[in-house]
Amino acid sequence: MNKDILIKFNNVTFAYTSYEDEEESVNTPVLTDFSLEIPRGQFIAVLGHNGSGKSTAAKMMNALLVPQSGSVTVDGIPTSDESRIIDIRRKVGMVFQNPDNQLVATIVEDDVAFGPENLGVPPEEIRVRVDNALKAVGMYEFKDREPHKLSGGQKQRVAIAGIITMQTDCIVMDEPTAMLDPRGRKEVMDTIKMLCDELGITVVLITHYMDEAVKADRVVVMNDGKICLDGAPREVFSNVELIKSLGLDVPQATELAYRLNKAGFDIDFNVLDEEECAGAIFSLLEVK
Amino acid sequence: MAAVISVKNLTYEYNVGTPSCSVALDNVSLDIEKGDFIGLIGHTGSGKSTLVQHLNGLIKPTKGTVYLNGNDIHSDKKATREARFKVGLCFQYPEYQLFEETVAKDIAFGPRNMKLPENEITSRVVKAAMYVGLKKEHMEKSPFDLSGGEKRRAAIAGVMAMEPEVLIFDEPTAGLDPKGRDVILSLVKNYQTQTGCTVILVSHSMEDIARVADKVIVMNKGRVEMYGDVKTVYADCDRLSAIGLNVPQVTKVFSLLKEKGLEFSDDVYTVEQGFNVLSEYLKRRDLND
Repeated sequence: MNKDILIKFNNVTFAYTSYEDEEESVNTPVLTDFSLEIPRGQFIAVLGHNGSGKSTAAKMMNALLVPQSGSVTVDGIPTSDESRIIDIRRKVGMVFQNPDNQLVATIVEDDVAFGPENLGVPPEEIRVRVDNALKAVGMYEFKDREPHKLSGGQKQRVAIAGIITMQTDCIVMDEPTAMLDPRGRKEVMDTIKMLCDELGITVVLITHYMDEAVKADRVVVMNDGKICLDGAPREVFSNVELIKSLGLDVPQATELAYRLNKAGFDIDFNVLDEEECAGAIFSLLEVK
Repeated sequence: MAAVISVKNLTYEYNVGTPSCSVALDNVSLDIEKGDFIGLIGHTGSGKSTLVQHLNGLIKPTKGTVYLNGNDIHSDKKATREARFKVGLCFQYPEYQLFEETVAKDIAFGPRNMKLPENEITSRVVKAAMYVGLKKEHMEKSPFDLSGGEKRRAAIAGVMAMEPEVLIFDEPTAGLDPKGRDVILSLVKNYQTQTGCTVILVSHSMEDIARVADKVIVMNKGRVEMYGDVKTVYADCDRLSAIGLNVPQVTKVFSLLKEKGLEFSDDVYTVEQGFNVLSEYLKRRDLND
Protein backbone atom coordinates (compact mmCIF):
# COMPACT_ATOMS: atom_id res chain seq x y z
CA MET A 1 0.00 0.00 0.00
CA ASN A 2 1.54 3.30 -1.00
CA LYS A 3 -0.95 5.58 0.72
CA ASP A 4 -1.39 5.71 4.48
CA ILE A 5 -5.08 4.91 4.89
CA LEU A 6 -6.51 6.10 8.21
CA ILE A 7 -10.13 5.01 7.87
CA LYS A 8 -11.27 2.21 5.64
CA PHE A 9 -14.83 1.04 4.89
CA ASN A 10 -14.90 -2.38 3.35
CA ASN A 11 -18.24 -3.47 1.79
CA VAL A 12 -20.20 -2.13 4.73
CA THR A 13 -23.91 -2.80 5.04
CA PHE A 14 -26.12 -1.26 7.69
CA ALA A 15 -29.87 -1.09 8.21
CA TYR A 16 -32.03 0.44 10.90
CA THR A 17 -34.79 -1.74 12.22
CA SER A 18 -38.05 -0.23 13.39
CA TYR A 19 -40.79 -2.20 15.07
CA GLU A 20 -44.33 -1.39 14.03
CA ASP A 21 -45.61 -3.76 16.70
CA GLU A 22 -44.10 -6.67 18.59
CA GLU A 23 -44.22 -9.13 15.73
CA GLU A 24 -43.58 -6.98 12.71
CA SER A 25 -40.28 -5.26 12.07
CA VAL A 26 -39.26 -3.10 9.15
CA ASN A 27 -35.69 -2.97 7.91
CA THR A 28 -34.56 0.29 6.37
CA PRO A 29 -31.24 -0.19 4.60
CA VAL A 30 -28.96 2.81 5.03
CA LEU A 31 -25.61 1.67 3.68
CA THR A 32 -25.31 -1.04 1.07
CA ASP A 33 -21.98 -2.53 0.14
CA PHE A 34 -20.30 0.74 1.00
CA SER A 35 -16.54 1.09 0.53
CA LEU A 36 -14.39 4.16 1.13
CA GLU A 37 -10.76 4.84 1.97
CA ILE A 38 -9.72 8.02 3.73
CA PRO A 39 -5.97 8.69 3.61
CA ARG A 40 -4.29 10.34 6.59
CA GLY A 41 -4.18 14.14 6.34
CA GLN A 42 -6.96 14.50 3.78
CA PHE A 43 -9.76 17.06 4.01
CA ILE A 44 -12.79 15.28 2.66
CA ALA A 45 -16.31 16.70 2.27
CA VAL A 46 -19.29 14.35 2.18
CA LEU A 47 -22.46 15.51 0.43
CA GLY A 48 -25.83 13.85 0.10
CA HIS A 49 -29.48 14.67 0.75
CA ASN A 50 -31.06 13.85 4.10
CA GLY A 51 -31.37 10.11 4.41
CA SER A 52 -28.54 9.34 1.99
CA GLY A 53 -26.57 7.58 4.73
CA LYS A 54 -23.84 10.12 5.34
CA SER A 55 -24.45 10.56 9.08
CA THR A 56 -24.56 6.79 9.53
CA ALA A 57 -21.23 6.50 7.74
CA ALA A 58 -19.85 9.27 9.97
CA LYS A 59 -20.94 7.49 13.14
CA MET A 60 -19.11 4.38 11.97
CA MET A 61 -15.84 6.27 11.80
CA ASN A 62 -15.43 6.23 15.58
CA ALA A 63 -17.42 3.14 16.41
CA LEU A 64 -20.63 4.86 17.54
CA LEU A 65 -22.14 2.39 15.11
CA VAL A 66 -20.58 -0.80 13.84
CA PRO A 67 -21.31 -2.45 10.48
CA GLN A 68 -23.77 -5.34 10.28
CA SER A 69 -21.66 -6.85 7.56
CA GLY A 70 -18.35 -5.78 6.07
CA SER A 71 -15.82 -3.92 8.16
CA VAL A 72 -14.59 -0.49 9.16
CA THR A 73 -11.01 -0.10 10.29
CA VAL A 74 -9.43 2.92 11.91
CA ASP A 75 -5.65 2.92 11.58
CA GLY A 76 -5.92 -0.81 11.04
CA ILE A 77 -8.11 -1.49 14.09
CA PRO A 78 -11.52 -2.99 13.29
CA THR A 79 -14.29 -0.96 14.97
CA SER A 80 -16.08 -4.21 15.79
CA ASP A 81 -13.34 -5.04 18.30
CA GLU A 82 -14.96 -3.80 21.52
CA SER A 83 -11.75 -4.11 23.51
CA ARG A 84 -10.17 -1.43 21.30
CA ILE A 85 -13.00 1.11 21.27
CA ILE A 86 -11.03 3.48 23.50
CA ASP A 87 -8.11 3.36 21.05
CA ILE A 88 -10.44 4.16 18.18
CA ARG A 89 -12.05 7.08 19.99
CA ARG A 90 -8.57 8.44 20.74
CA LYS A 91 -7.90 8.50 17.03
CA VAL A 92 -11.21 9.85 15.72
CA GLY A 93 -13.23 12.62 17.40
CA MET A 94 -16.63 13.93 16.43
CA VAL A 95 -18.34 17.33 16.29
CA PHE A 96 -22.10 17.37 15.85
CA GLN A 97 -24.59 19.78 14.36
CA ASN A 98 -26.13 21.34 17.42
CA PRO A 99 -23.64 23.51 19.35
CA ASP A 100 -25.87 23.38 22.43
CA ASN A 101 -25.80 19.61 22.74
CA GLN A 102 -22.12 18.91 23.12
CA LEU A 103 -20.67 21.25 25.72
CA VAL A 104 -20.75 19.66 29.16
CA ALA A 105 -18.93 21.97 31.58
CA THR A 106 -19.88 25.37 33.00
CA ILE A 107 -16.60 27.04 32.05
CA VAL A 108 -15.05 26.98 28.57
CA GLU A 109 -11.62 25.68 29.64
CA ASP A 110 -13.18 22.92 31.78
CA ASP A 111 -15.14 21.78 28.79
CA VAL A 112 -12.05 21.68 26.60
CA ALA A 113 -10.22 19.72 29.32
CA PHE A 114 -12.98 17.11 29.59
CA GLY A 115 -11.56 14.81 26.89
CA PRO A 116 -7.93 14.59 28.06
CA GLU A 117 -9.09 14.26 31.70
CA ASN A 118 -11.00 11.18 30.71
CA LEU A 119 -7.98 9.86 28.89
CA GLY A 120 -5.94 10.18 32.10
CA VAL A 121 -3.54 12.81 30.77
CA PRO A 122 -1.45 14.36 33.63
CA PRO A 123 -2.83 17.74 34.83
CA GLU A 124 0.20 19.83 33.79
CA GLU A 125 0.00 18.34 30.33
CA ILE A 126 -3.75 19.05 30.19
CA ARG A 127 -3.10 22.71 31.01
CA VAL A 128 -0.70 23.03 28.09
CA ARG A 129 -2.99 21.19 25.68
CA VAL A 130 -6.07 23.23 26.65
CA ASP A 131 -4.25 26.54 26.25
CA ASN A 132 -2.82 25.53 22.89
CA ALA A 133 -6.13 24.22 21.58
CA LEU A 134 -8.02 27.35 22.65
CA LYS A 135 -5.37 29.52 21.02
CA ALA A 136 -5.56 27.42 17.84
CA VAL A 137 -9.32 28.00 17.46
CA GLY A 138 -9.06 31.64 18.54
CA MET A 139 -11.02 31.20 21.76
CA TYR A 140 -8.23 31.65 24.32
CA GLU A 141 -9.54 34.94 25.66
CA PHE A 142 -12.88 33.24 26.31
CA LYS A 143 -11.40 30.47 28.48
CA ASP A 144 -13.10 31.67 31.69
CA ARG A 145 -16.49 32.28 30.09
CA GLU A 146 -19.66 30.26 30.41
CA PRO A 147 -20.27 28.24 27.23
CA HIS A 148 -24.01 29.01 27.05
CA LYS A 149 -23.25 32.70 26.68
CA LEU A 150 -21.18 32.20 23.54
CA SER A 151 -22.43 32.52 19.96
CA GLY A 152 -23.07 29.35 17.93
CA GLY A 153 -19.82 29.71 16.00
CA GLN A 154 -17.87 30.18 19.22
CA LYS A 155 -19.51 27.13 20.78
CA GLN A 156 -18.55 24.99 17.79
CA ARG A 157 -14.97 26.25 18.00
CA VAL A 158 -14.90 25.28 21.69
CA ALA A 159 -16.21 21.83 20.75
CA ILE A 160 -13.44 21.54 18.14
CA ALA A 161 -10.85 22.65 20.71
CA GLY A 162 -12.11 19.89 23.00
CA ILE A 163 -11.18 17.36 20.35
CA ILE A 164 -7.84 18.97 19.50
CA THR A 165 -6.81 18.45 23.16
CA MET A 166 -7.39 14.74 22.73
CA GLN A 167 -4.84 14.86 19.91
CA THR A 168 -6.93 12.70 17.63
CA ASP A 169 -5.69 11.93 14.14
CA CYS A 170 -9.05 12.71 12.61
CA ILE A 171 -12.06 14.92 13.33
CA VAL A 172 -15.42 13.97 11.83
CA MET A 173 -17.90 16.84 11.68
CA ASP A 174 -21.56 16.23 10.97
CA GLU A 175 -23.00 19.47 9.58
CA PRO A 176 -21.14 21.63 12.11
CA THR A 177 -22.30 24.86 10.45
CA ALA A 178 -25.95 24.00 9.78
CA MET A 179 -27.26 25.97 12.75
CA LEU A 180 -24.88 28.91 12.42
CA ASP A 181 -25.21 32.33 10.79
CA PRO A 182 -22.82 33.40 8.00
CA ARG A 183 -20.31 34.83 10.46
CA GLY A 184 -20.31 31.66 12.60
CA ARG A 185 -19.97 29.52 9.50
CA LYS A 186 -16.93 31.46 8.39
CA GLU A 187 -15.32 31.11 11.83
CA VAL A 188 -15.80 27.35 11.78
CA MET A 189 -14.61 26.97 8.18
CA ASP A 190 -11.47 28.99 8.94
CA THR A 191 -10.88 26.71 11.92
CA ILE A 192 -11.31 23.60 9.77
CA LYS A 193 -8.78 24.91 7.26
CA MET A 194 -6.37 25.52 10.13
CA LEU A 195 -6.85 21.94 11.39
CA CYS A 196 -5.84 20.56 8.01
CA ASP A 197 -3.16 23.01 6.96
CA GLU A 198 -1.41 23.65 10.27
CA LEU A 199 -2.12 20.66 12.51
CA GLY A 200 -2.25 18.07 9.73
CA ILE A 201 -5.46 16.57 11.12
CA THR A 202 -7.62 14.46 8.82
CA VAL A 203 -11.04 16.14 8.50
CA VAL A 204 -14.28 14.57 7.36
CA LEU A 205 -16.86 17.31 6.85
CA ILE A 206 -20.49 16.48 6.21
CA THR A 207 -22.25 19.52 4.83
CA HIS A 208 -25.12 20.86 2.74
CA TYR A 209 -23.20 23.97 1.80
CA MET A 210 -21.47 23.67 -1.54
CA ASP A 211 -19.22 26.66 -0.90
CA GLU A 212 -17.77 24.69 2.03
CA ALA A 213 -17.34 21.52 0.00
CA VAL A 214 -15.28 23.30 -2.69
CA LYS A 215 -12.64 24.04 -0.06
CA ALA A 216 -11.99 20.34 0.57
CA ASP A 217 -9.27 18.20 -1.08
CA ARG A 218 -11.86 15.66 -2.07
CA VAL A 219 -15.66 15.53 -2.34
CA VAL A 220 -17.71 12.37 -1.95
CA VAL A 221 -21.38 12.46 -2.97
CA MET A 222 -23.65 9.84 -1.43
CA ASN A 223 -27.07 8.66 -2.53
CA ASP A 224 -29.11 5.72 -1.23
CA GLY A 225 -26.28 4.44 0.90
CA LYS A 226 -23.79 4.37 -1.96
CA ILE A 227 -21.09 6.64 -3.29
CA CYS A 228 -22.07 8.07 -6.63
CA LEU A 229 -19.34 10.65 -7.14
CA ASP A 230 -15.87 10.80 -5.67
CA GLY A 231 -13.07 13.13 -6.68
CA ALA A 232 -11.56 16.58 -6.47
CA PRO A 233 -14.22 19.33 -6.07
CA ARG A 234 -13.66 20.54 -9.64
CA GLU A 235 -14.18 17.09 -11.03
CA VAL A 236 -17.25 16.35 -8.91
CA PHE A 237 -19.05 19.64 -9.46
CA SER A 238 -18.69 19.39 -13.23
CA ASN A 239 -21.47 16.76 -13.03
CA VAL A 240 -24.08 19.47 -12.67
CA GLU A 241 -27.06 17.45 -13.93
CA LEU A 242 -26.31 14.41 -11.81
CA ILE A 243 -25.80 16.45 -8.65
CA LYS A 244 -29.04 18.37 -9.22
CA SER A 245 -30.92 15.15 -9.85
CA LEU A 246 -29.79 13.93 -6.42
CA GLY A 247 -31.49 16.91 -4.79
CA LEU A 248 -28.21 18.73 -4.20
CA ASP A 249 -26.77 22.00 -5.44
CA VAL A 250 -23.61 22.97 -7.21
CA PRO A 251 -22.02 26.32 -6.31
CA GLN A 252 -23.94 29.23 -7.88
CA ALA A 253 -20.88 30.20 -9.91
CA THR A 254 -20.71 26.72 -11.46
CA GLU A 255 -24.45 26.68 -12.14
CA LEU A 256 -24.42 30.06 -13.89
CA ALA A 257 -21.55 29.04 -16.21
CA TYR A 258 -23.18 25.67 -16.80
CA ARG A 259 -26.51 27.19 -17.81
CA LEU A 260 -24.81 29.56 -20.24
CA ASN A 261 -22.90 26.64 -21.71
CA LYS A 262 -26.12 24.65 -22.05
CA ALA A 263 -27.77 27.57 -23.80
CA GLY A 264 -25.12 27.25 -26.50
CA PHE A 265 -22.56 29.81 -25.40
CA ASP A 266 -18.93 28.82 -25.57
CA ILE A 267 -18.08 29.05 -21.88
CA ASP A 268 -16.05 26.75 -19.65
CA PHE A 269 -18.31 25.67 -16.77
CA ASN A 270 -15.57 23.96 -14.85
CA VAL A 271 -15.44 26.88 -12.42
CA LEU A 272 -15.82 26.74 -8.65
CA ASP A 273 -15.92 30.27 -7.28
CA GLU A 274 -16.93 33.78 -8.24
CA GLU A 275 -13.48 34.75 -9.52
CA GLU A 276 -13.23 31.80 -11.89
CA CYS A 277 -16.80 32.34 -13.06
CA ALA A 278 -16.25 36.05 -13.71
CA GLY A 279 -13.05 35.11 -15.58
CA ALA A 280 -14.91 32.62 -17.76
CA ILE A 281 -17.69 35.10 -18.53
CA PHE A 282 -15.10 37.75 -19.28
CA SER A 283 -13.34 35.60 -21.84
CA LEU A 284 -16.68 34.62 -23.35
CA LEU A 285 -17.50 38.31 -23.87
CA GLU A 286 -14.00 39.15 -25.12
CA VAL A 287 -13.95 36.55 -27.88
CA LYS A 288 -15.43 37.85 -31.08
CA MET B 1 -52.12 50.24 1.43
CA ALA B 2 -52.91 50.00 5.09
CA ALA B 3 -50.33 48.78 7.55
CA VAL B 4 -51.38 45.52 9.17
CA ILE B 5 -48.62 45.80 11.77
CA SER B 6 -47.18 49.04 12.93
CA VAL B 7 -44.28 49.23 15.37
CA LYS B 8 -43.64 52.57 17.07
CA ASN B 9 -40.46 53.45 18.98
CA LEU B 10 -40.00 49.90 20.18
CA THR B 11 -37.18 49.33 22.66
CA TYR B 12 -36.49 46.05 24.39
CA GLU B 13 -33.89 45.41 27.05
CA TYR B 14 -32.96 41.99 28.37
CA ASN B 15 -32.24 41.52 32.10
CA VAL B 16 -33.29 45.04 33.09
CA GLY B 17 -31.82 46.09 36.43
CA THR B 18 -29.01 43.51 36.39
CA PRO B 19 -25.37 43.95 35.37
CA SER B 20 -26.03 41.87 32.26
CA CYS B 21 -28.68 44.31 30.98
CA SER B 22 -28.45 44.59 27.20
CA VAL B 23 -30.46 46.39 24.56
CA ALA B 24 -31.91 43.97 22.00
CA LEU B 25 -34.08 46.50 20.17
CA ASP B 26 -33.27 50.16 20.09
CA ASN B 27 -36.12 52.51 19.22
CA VAL B 28 -37.41 50.55 16.23
CA SER B 29 -40.28 51.95 14.17
CA LEU B 30 -41.66 50.29 11.07
CA ASP B 31 -44.87 49.48 9.20
CA ILE B 32 -45.70 46.13 7.62
CA GLU B 33 -48.10 46.60 4.71
CA LYS B 34 -50.93 44.15 4.22
CA GLY B 35 -50.17 41.39 1.72
CA ASP B 36 -46.43 41.98 1.55
CA PHE B 37 -43.88 39.21 1.50
CA ILE B 38 -41.05 40.53 3.63
CA GLY B 39 -37.62 39.04 4.17
CA LEU B 40 -36.04 39.81 7.54
CA ILE B 41 -32.29 39.48 7.59
CA GLY B 42 -29.47 40.18 10.02
CA HIS B 43 -26.75 38.22 11.77
CA THR B 44 -27.23 36.51 15.13
CA GLY B 45 -27.81 39.06 17.87
CA SER B 46 -29.07 41.74 15.48
CA GLY B 47 -32.49 41.68 17.16
CA LYS B 48 -34.54 39.99 14.46
CA SER B 49 -35.89 37.16 16.62
CA THR B 50 -36.67 39.59 19.45
CA LEU B 51 -38.53 41.77 16.96
CA VAL B 52 -40.72 38.97 15.59
CA GLN B 53 -41.59 37.77 19.09
CA HIS B 54 -42.96 41.24 19.79
CA LEU B 55 -45.27 41.11 16.79
CA ASN B 56 -47.59 38.53 18.31
CA GLY B 57 -47.20 39.67 21.88
CA LEU B 58 -44.87 36.94 23.14
CA ILE B 59 -42.59 39.64 24.48
CA LYS B 60 -43.81 42.89 25.98
CA PRO B 61 -41.88 45.97 24.87
CA THR B 62 -39.72 47.77 27.44
CA LYS B 63 -40.77 50.97 25.67
CA GLY B 64 -42.92 51.63 22.63
CA THR B 65 -46.02 50.06 21.09
CA VAL B 66 -46.97 47.36 18.60
CA TYR B 67 -50.21 47.98 16.67
CA LEU B 68 -52.16 45.26 14.89
CA ASN B 69 -54.72 46.74 12.49
CA GLY B 70 -54.46 49.99 14.43
CA ASN B 71 -54.96 48.49 17.92
CA ASP B 72 -52.27 48.36 20.59
CA ILE B 73 -51.79 44.62 21.18
CA HIS B 74 -51.09 45.18 24.87
CA SER B 75 -54.06 47.51 25.53
CA ASP B 76 -55.92 44.65 27.22
CA LYS B 77 -55.94 40.85 27.48
CA LYS B 78 -58.40 40.47 24.63
CA ALA B 79 -56.17 42.42 22.25
CA THR B 80 -53.14 40.30 23.20
CA ARG B 81 -55.10 37.09 22.67
CA GLU B 82 -56.23 38.36 19.29
CA ALA B 83 -52.63 39.11 18.31
CA ARG B 84 -51.66 35.52 19.16
CA PHE B 85 -54.23 34.21 16.70
CA LYS B 86 -53.89 36.80 13.96
CA VAL B 87 -50.11 36.79 13.91
CA GLY B 88 -48.85 33.22 13.53
CA LEU B 89 -45.28 32.57 14.54
CA CYS B 90 -43.44 29.53 13.28
CA PHE B 91 -40.28 29.13 15.35
CA GLN B 92 -36.90 27.81 14.31
CA TYR B 93 -36.86 24.02 14.16
CA PRO B 94 -40.67 23.90 14.62
CA GLU B 95 -40.61 20.10 14.40
CA TYR B 96 -39.30 20.02 17.98
CA GLN B 97 -42.72 21.25 19.08
CA LEU B 98 -44.75 18.40 17.61
CA PHE B 99 -46.33 16.49 20.46
CA GLU B 100 -49.73 14.99 19.56
CA GLU B 101 -50.59 11.36 18.87
CA THR B 102 -51.31 11.92 15.22
CA VAL B 103 -50.34 14.48 12.61
CA ALA B 104 -54.00 15.49 12.17
CA LYS B 105 -54.38 16.17 15.90
CA ASP B 106 -51.18 18.15 15.98
CA ILE B 107 -52.28 20.40 13.12
CA ALA B 108 -55.68 20.81 14.82
CA PHE B 109 -54.13 22.01 18.08
CA GLY B 110 -54.09 25.72 17.14
CA PRO B 111 -57.62 25.92 15.68
CA ARG B 112 -58.94 23.93 18.66
CA ASN B 113 -57.41 26.49 21.04
CA MET B 114 -59.22 29.16 19.07
CA LYS B 115 -62.45 27.35 20.09
CA LEU B 116 -63.59 26.93 16.49
CA PRO B 117 -66.47 24.54 15.67
CA GLU B 118 -65.39 20.95 14.96
CA ASN B 119 -66.28 20.98 11.24
CA GLU B 120 -64.30 24.19 10.77
CA ILE B 121 -61.30 22.61 12.51
CA THR B 122 -61.47 19.57 10.23
CA SER B 123 -61.67 21.63 7.09
CA ARG B 124 -58.77 23.81 8.18
CA VAL B 125 -56.61 20.77 8.95
CA VAL B 126 -57.30 19.37 5.49
CA LYS B 127 -56.54 22.69 3.83
CA ALA B 128 -53.32 23.25 5.79
CA ALA B 129 -52.11 19.72 5.04
CA MET B 130 -52.73 20.41 1.37
CA TYR B 131 -50.69 23.62 1.44
CA VAL B 132 -47.68 21.81 2.87
CA GLY B 133 -48.11 18.74 0.67
CA LEU B 134 -48.88 16.18 3.38
CA LYS B 135 -50.94 13.31 2.08
CA LYS B 136 -53.90 11.54 3.60
CA GLU B 137 -51.79 8.58 4.70
CA HIS B 138 -49.59 10.90 6.77
CA MET B 139 -52.47 12.31 8.77
CA GLU B 140 -53.12 9.36 11.07
CA LYS B 141 -49.43 8.61 11.66
CA SER B 142 -47.55 9.69 14.75
CA PRO B 143 -45.67 12.88 13.89
CA PHE B 144 -42.54 11.17 15.20
CA ASP B 145 -42.72 8.57 12.44
CA LEU B 146 -42.39 11.20 9.73
CA SER B 147 -39.12 12.08 8.00
CA GLY B 148 -37.33 15.28 9.04
CA GLY B 149 -38.73 17.28 6.11
CA GLU B 150 -42.26 15.97 6.66
CA LYS B 151 -42.10 16.81 10.37
CA ARG B 152 -41.19 20.37 9.57
CA ARG B 153 -44.03 20.64 7.06
CA ALA B 154 -46.49 19.21 9.61
CA ALA B 155 -45.37 21.84 12.14
CA ILE B 156 -45.77 24.61 9.57
CA ALA B 157 -49.27 23.32 8.73
CA GLY B 158 -50.15 23.70 12.41
CA VAL B 159 -49.50 27.43 12.19
CA MET B 160 -51.21 27.79 8.80
CA ALA B 161 -54.34 26.07 10.16
CA MET B 162 -54.89 29.04 12.44
CA GLU B 163 -55.26 31.10 9.25
CA PRO B 164 -53.41 34.08 10.66
CA GLU B 165 -53.40 37.42 8.85
CA VAL B 166 -49.66 37.62 9.30
CA LEU B 167 -47.48 34.56 9.16
CA ILE B 168 -43.93 34.77 10.48
CA PHE B 169 -41.34 32.09 9.75
CA ASP B 170 -38.13 32.14 11.77
CA GLU B 171 -35.51 30.45 9.57
CA PRO B 172 -37.83 27.79 8.16
CA THR B 173 -35.10 26.19 6.04
CA ALA B 174 -32.38 25.89 8.72
CA GLY B 175 -30.72 22.48 8.73
CA LEU B 176 -32.46 21.21 5.59
CA ASP B 177 -30.74 19.83 2.52
CA PRO B 178 -30.95 21.88 -0.72
CA LYS B 179 -34.02 20.04 -1.97
CA GLY B 180 -35.82 20.32 1.37
CA ARG B 181 -35.02 24.03 1.39
CA ASP B 182 -36.51 24.54 -2.10
CA VAL B 183 -39.67 22.65 -1.11
CA ILE B 184 -40.27 24.80 1.99
CA LEU B 185 -39.59 28.08 0.19
CA SER B 186 -41.95 27.28 -2.65
CA LEU B 187 -44.75 26.09 -0.40
CA VAL B 188 -44.51 29.28 1.67
CA LYS B 189 -44.55 31.33 -1.52
CA ASN B 190 -47.56 29.44 -2.91
CA TYR B 191 -49.42 29.81 0.36
CA GLN B 192 -48.84 33.54 0.34
CA THR B 193 -49.91 33.94 -3.31
CA GLN B 194 -53.06 31.90 -2.80
CA THR B 195 -54.22 33.34 0.51
CA GLY B 196 -52.89 36.88 0.07
CA CYS B 197 -51.78 36.93 3.69
CA THR B 198 -48.78 38.88 4.92
CA VAL B 199 -45.59 36.85 5.34
CA ILE B 200 -42.40 37.69 7.18
CA LEU B 201 -39.54 35.28 6.53
CA VAL B 202 -36.47 35.42 8.75
CA SER B 203 -33.39 34.05 7.02
CA HIS B 204 -29.62 34.25 6.86
CA SER B 205 -29.65 33.59 3.16
CA MET B 206 -29.90 36.65 0.95
CA GLU B 207 -30.43 34.35 -2.00
CA ASP B 208 -33.43 32.61 -0.46
CA ILE B 209 -34.98 35.97 0.37
CA ALA B 210 -34.35 37.24 -3.17
CA ARG B 211 -36.21 34.23 -4.51
CA VAL B 212 -39.43 34.77 -2.57
CA ALA B 213 -39.70 38.21 -0.95
CA ASP B 214 -40.83 41.59 -2.31
CA LYS B 215 -39.28 43.67 0.43
CA VAL B 216 -36.40 43.27 2.87
CA ILE B 217 -35.79 44.50 6.38
CA VAL B 218 -32.13 44.44 7.42
CA MET B 219 -31.53 44.48 11.17
CA ASN B 220 -28.21 45.42 12.74
CA LYS B 221 -27.38 45.99 16.40
CA GLY B 222 -31.02 46.24 17.43
CA ARG B 223 -31.93 48.78 14.78
CA VAL B 224 -33.49 48.70 11.34
CA GLU B 225 -30.47 49.25 9.14
CA MET B 226 -32.35 49.15 5.82
CA TYR B 227 -35.94 48.57 4.73
CA GLY B 228 -37.16 48.64 1.16
CA ASP B 229 -37.81 46.55 -1.91
CA VAL B 230 -35.31 43.78 -2.59
CA LYS B 231 -33.68 45.60 -5.51
CA THR B 232 -32.99 48.80 -3.61
CA VAL B 233 -31.64 47.11 -0.50
CA TYR B 234 -29.48 44.56 -2.32
CA ALA B 235 -27.96 47.26 -4.51
CA ASP B 236 -25.88 48.25 -1.48
CA CYS B 237 -23.76 45.11 -1.39
CA ASP B 238 -20.85 46.71 0.44
CA ARG B 239 -23.02 47.84 3.31
CA LEU B 240 -24.59 44.37 3.62
CA SER B 241 -21.17 42.68 3.65
CA ALA B 242 -19.94 45.15 6.23
CA ILE B 243 -22.64 44.08 8.71
CA GLY B 244 -21.73 40.42 8.31
CA LEU B 245 -24.26 39.23 5.74
CA ASN B 246 -23.44 36.79 3.00
CA VAL B 247 -23.88 38.37 -0.41
CA PRO B 248 -24.95 35.72 -2.98
CA GLN B 249 -22.12 34.32 -5.07
CA VAL B 250 -23.81 35.34 -8.32
CA THR B 251 -23.97 38.94 -7.10
CA LYS B 252 -20.23 38.75 -6.39
CA VAL B 253 -19.63 37.47 -9.93
CA PHE B 254 -21.38 40.54 -11.29
CA SER B 255 -19.46 42.96 -9.10
CA LEU B 256 -16.23 41.36 -10.34
CA LEU B 257 -17.42 41.84 -13.92
CA LYS B 258 -18.16 45.45 -13.08
CA GLU B 259 -14.62 45.91 -11.77
CA LYS B 260 -13.38 44.65 -15.12
CA GLY B 261 -15.46 47.31 -16.83
CA LEU B 262 -18.44 45.18 -17.84
CA GLU B 263 -21.51 46.75 -16.39
CA PHE B 264 -24.83 44.95 -16.25
CA SER B 265 -27.89 45.71 -14.19
CA ASP B 266 -27.30 45.78 -10.44
CA ASP B 267 -30.13 43.47 -9.45
CA VAL B 268 -28.67 40.03 -9.92
CA TYR B 269 -28.92 37.77 -6.83
CA THR B 270 -30.04 34.43 -8.20
CA VAL B 271 -28.59 32.14 -10.87
CA GLU B 272 -31.82 32.60 -12.84
CA GLN B 273 -31.43 36.38 -12.97
CA GLY B 274 -27.73 36.12 -13.83
CA PHE B 275 -28.44 33.72 -16.63
CA ASN B 276 -31.19 35.91 -18.10
CA VAL B 277 -29.10 39.07 -18.01
CA LEU B 278 -26.09 37.45 -19.66
CA SER B 279 -27.93 35.39 -22.25
CA GLU B 280 -29.99 38.37 -23.39
CA TYR B 281 -26.89 40.49 -23.64
CA LEU B 282 -25.08 37.84 -25.69
CA LYS B 283 -28.03 37.26 -28.00
CA ARG B 284 -28.38 40.96 -28.67
CA ARG B 285 -24.66 41.25 -29.38
CA ASP B 286 -24.75 38.33 -31.80
CA LEU B 287 -27.67 39.93 -33.66
CA ASN B 288 -25.83 43.21 -34.01
CA ASP B 289 -22.81 41.53 -35.56
